[in-house]
Amino acid sequence: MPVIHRSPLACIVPPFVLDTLARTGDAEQREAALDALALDISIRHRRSTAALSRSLFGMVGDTRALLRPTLAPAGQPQRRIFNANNQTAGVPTLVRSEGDAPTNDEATDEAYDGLGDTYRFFWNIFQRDSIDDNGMPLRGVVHYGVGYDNAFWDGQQMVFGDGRLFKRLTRSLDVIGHELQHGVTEHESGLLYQDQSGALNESLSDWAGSMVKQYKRGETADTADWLIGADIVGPSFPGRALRDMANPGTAWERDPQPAHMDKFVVTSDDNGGVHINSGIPNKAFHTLAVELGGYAWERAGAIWYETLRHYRLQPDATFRSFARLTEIVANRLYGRGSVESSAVTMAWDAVGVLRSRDDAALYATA
Amino acid sequence: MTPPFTLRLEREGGFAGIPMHAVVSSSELGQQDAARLWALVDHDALASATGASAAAASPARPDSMTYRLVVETPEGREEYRFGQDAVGPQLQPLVERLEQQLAF
Repeated sequence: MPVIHRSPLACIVPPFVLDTLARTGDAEQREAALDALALDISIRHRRSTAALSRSLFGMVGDTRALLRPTLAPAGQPQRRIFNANNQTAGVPTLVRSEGDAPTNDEATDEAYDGLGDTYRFFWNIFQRDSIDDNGMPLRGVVHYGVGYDNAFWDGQQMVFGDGRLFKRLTRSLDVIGHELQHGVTEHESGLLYQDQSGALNESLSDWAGSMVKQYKRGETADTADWLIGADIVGPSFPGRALRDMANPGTAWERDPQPAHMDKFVVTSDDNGGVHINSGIPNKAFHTLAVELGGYAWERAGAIWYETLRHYRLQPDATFRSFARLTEIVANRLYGRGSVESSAVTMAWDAVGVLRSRDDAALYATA
Repeated sequence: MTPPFTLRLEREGGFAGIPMHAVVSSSELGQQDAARLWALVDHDALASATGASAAAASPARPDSMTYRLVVETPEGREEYRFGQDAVGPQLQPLVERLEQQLAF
């Protein structure tokens, strides 16, 4: 059962008390107070945004529902699929909106369905309402360019090519989940797309892609394939997928992904190896999920999700700071010394990121 | 007059994150094909794209692709680096032509 953590201190305790607790309380009180203060700031931000919205659009009230950019209730995706008509510039054509019947264009309908599956995963499991957690409409652009071998998030929408060396990118649910998560990351921590923070950004997208696929298929951690891009590689590709979260470095014949910090790749290519070193946090999550058993999106997934949206996750996070934060989150969700908390430390130890539990504990109480 | 030339395109990044390359030499093409391809090599546009990419905000956008193009002739060697966002209408035909030669 997923646990979405909200500090019990939020909205009950006056801010000055929270401030005092954050400064002088014990470790647990400080964590709770910091969480509550962050939530309080978030709520005040939403209220100020609501006030701005009222001034612009004459809206009344300051509830979150009134801030949603669509009329649809939370829990309902708002999808719009556009056809780029094999161009890379210009205005794409709207070809399917929410509730429209299938178009019989494979890319359009795959994008529509995949975005819906991804939205429902985040809503059903984490009660997250779209990319911005505020009902942001999901825009997908298909038939981008001629034989374009890629998919990407451009800050506002997900863009998919028809592929040349690869198959049509929309064929793969993990590709769609991966791209949508880039939007989520941008709206949460804003992890910089460079070096270790970039590899974490990539890893979180692989995590989301795999979680959405496993959820759709009803797979447990030990039965899932943990492959990324298996549905878009054809017979000419020298491997079974682009990446293997369970066994980084083995997905194809020249797969450069390391599974351990001992093999960390220092390079200026690929924005500092963001698609390469992501194998390390990928393997850490896989190890955690298999250790805990059952559905990966439950306990292991809840820890990762609450970490990726944690206010202490900085844009320039390192593997080590991310790992320490997962420990803090696991302690908060499941308790210090819990099976889940121990498994998190074990998983990061296994990939050489956190070698010492004492070191992690020191950080958690610092 | 088309000079003898070799074009080397390297592409990296993208969702796949797999670097790929293509090499096209005029010696492997017929005279007309070589002339048509050489006509697509717009050094000003390539230099402009390189400059625009260097000036663009970094780090890059997630899963965007970047290119390195090396143009070799008896006159010398030119190297250009640019992101996919800098590939405008002038460079699009050249990039698409060379991408057809990309292989794993």
